Amino acid sequence: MSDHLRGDDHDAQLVRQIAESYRPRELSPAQRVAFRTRLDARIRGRARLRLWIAGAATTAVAVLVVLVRGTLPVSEPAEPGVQEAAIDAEEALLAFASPAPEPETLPADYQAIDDLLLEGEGV
Amino acid sequence: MASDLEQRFDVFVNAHRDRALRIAWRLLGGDAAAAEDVAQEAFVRAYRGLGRFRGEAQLATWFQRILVNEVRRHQRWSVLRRVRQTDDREPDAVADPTSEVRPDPALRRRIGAALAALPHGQREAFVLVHLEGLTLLEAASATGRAVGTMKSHLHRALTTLRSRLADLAPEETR
Repeated sequence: MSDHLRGDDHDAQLVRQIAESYRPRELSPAQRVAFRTRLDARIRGRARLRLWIAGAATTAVAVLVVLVRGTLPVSEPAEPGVQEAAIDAEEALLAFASPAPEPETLPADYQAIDDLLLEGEGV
Repeated sequence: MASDLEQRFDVFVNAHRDRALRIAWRLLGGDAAAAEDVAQEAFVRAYRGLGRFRGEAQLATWFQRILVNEVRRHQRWSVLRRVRQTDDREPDAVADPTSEVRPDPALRRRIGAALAALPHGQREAFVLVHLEGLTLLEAASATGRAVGTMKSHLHRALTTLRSRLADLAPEETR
């Protein structure tokens, strides 16, 4: 009982009587065991429920992702005319960026030797 | 690690079971089935958070808060279901042949009715401090109220019970 009533005997007596009269039956050893068994079952049930909820949530997210991806616009191939124009533009850009190489010519001495060899071969 | 937690929980349940059941029973108007349901729910919550606590005093205060919250949750649902917490049936009607001699059932009903008629805050304060012997600070922590509010609730509850159960204390002195 509370310590807050020590100053008033009548109140203390009233509270003591309420405390003694208004209390549940004490559990027997068998009831204590049964209580613990039910508690363990409840804890296991909650653990299973949490697993189930986690699984369901994961599945729901996966389904949602699939659905969202299914509705996203897919990039379609461009029409033929547009595609050719794009290729032309690319080629023009490449040509501008890398001008055609000069035709290779041998130095004069080497050219004379090359001519002689060609003549020897009857060309 | 897990077995250590299980062991701690076992000790914890054994240490707090009877008091938890008694507090829930008293706060729920003597409904034994509801008291067990509430106490079990509080223990389930405690099981999940037990690893965070070390000191027994801290643990007890924390558990009492869980228990009071579970009682309140049960009461809210009971109101929604329109279930009367205090009716004319004898509370805790399941017979237990091993328990000690029971107090007068009529007296118990009277006290139960007087307690049930108190506002929630006053009933919590009276049960926790006067019947269960918690300090004002512990009761304030368990209920989430200020100590001053608890004092006020206690005073009002006692005044009301004194007038409703005025004949009880003199009977005892006969």
